[in-house]
Amino acid sequence: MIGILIVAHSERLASGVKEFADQATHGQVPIVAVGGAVDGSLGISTEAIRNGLRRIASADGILVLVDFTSAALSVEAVLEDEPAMRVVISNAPLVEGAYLAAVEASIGATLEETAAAALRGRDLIKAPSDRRARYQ
Amino acid sequence: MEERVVRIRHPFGLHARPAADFYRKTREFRSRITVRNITRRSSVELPVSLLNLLQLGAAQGHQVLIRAEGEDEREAVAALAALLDQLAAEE
Repeated sequence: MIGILIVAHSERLASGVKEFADQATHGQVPIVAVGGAVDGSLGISTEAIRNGLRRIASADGILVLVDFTSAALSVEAVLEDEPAMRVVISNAPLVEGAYLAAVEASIGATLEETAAAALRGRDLIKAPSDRRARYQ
Repeated sequence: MEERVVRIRHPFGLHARPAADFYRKTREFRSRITVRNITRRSSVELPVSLLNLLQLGAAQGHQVLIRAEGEDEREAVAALAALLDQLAAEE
């Protein structure tokens, strides 16, 4: 099974997204949440990202969900020293992407399938009353 | 073709965890399964996917039409209706 790493600038944000995804999958998917700087303030810690990736590293791969671009850049920087890891950094929105990816991973999807599921979160219509909304 | 209208009794509606459980159950069958929230007039019949389940906007009390077509259509509809009952009972 693939693993999911959630990276956000706030520890509480990352943990909250993990809590949501864990509940949807009954805790079946390895999910690690990383957030905040080393001193606990808002920010990103590359050391925490490295440790998080190592905790869920497997042959099946890791999908990374981020809140903003600088989180993705930090993950890319860490991966330069980890050439053996199979990792995809997703452009999906964080909450939707983590939820969709976790459920897909829970039914044994591949890294590619899970990454595709996460990206569909971009098209999610949340307000059915919006008449301009187009269902896929 | 097999279809059934079910009333959503789960207090959160068919979202988040119940939607995920429903989606996982649909993957156990080969039939083509669609869902439609008949309580919302604007709702259209959608092929089952996790994204579409979230988009149904199916709240507690709404009626959802489950339709299946294929070799295991009867089993699929029965299992999905039973799952929704079970999820509501767990709350």
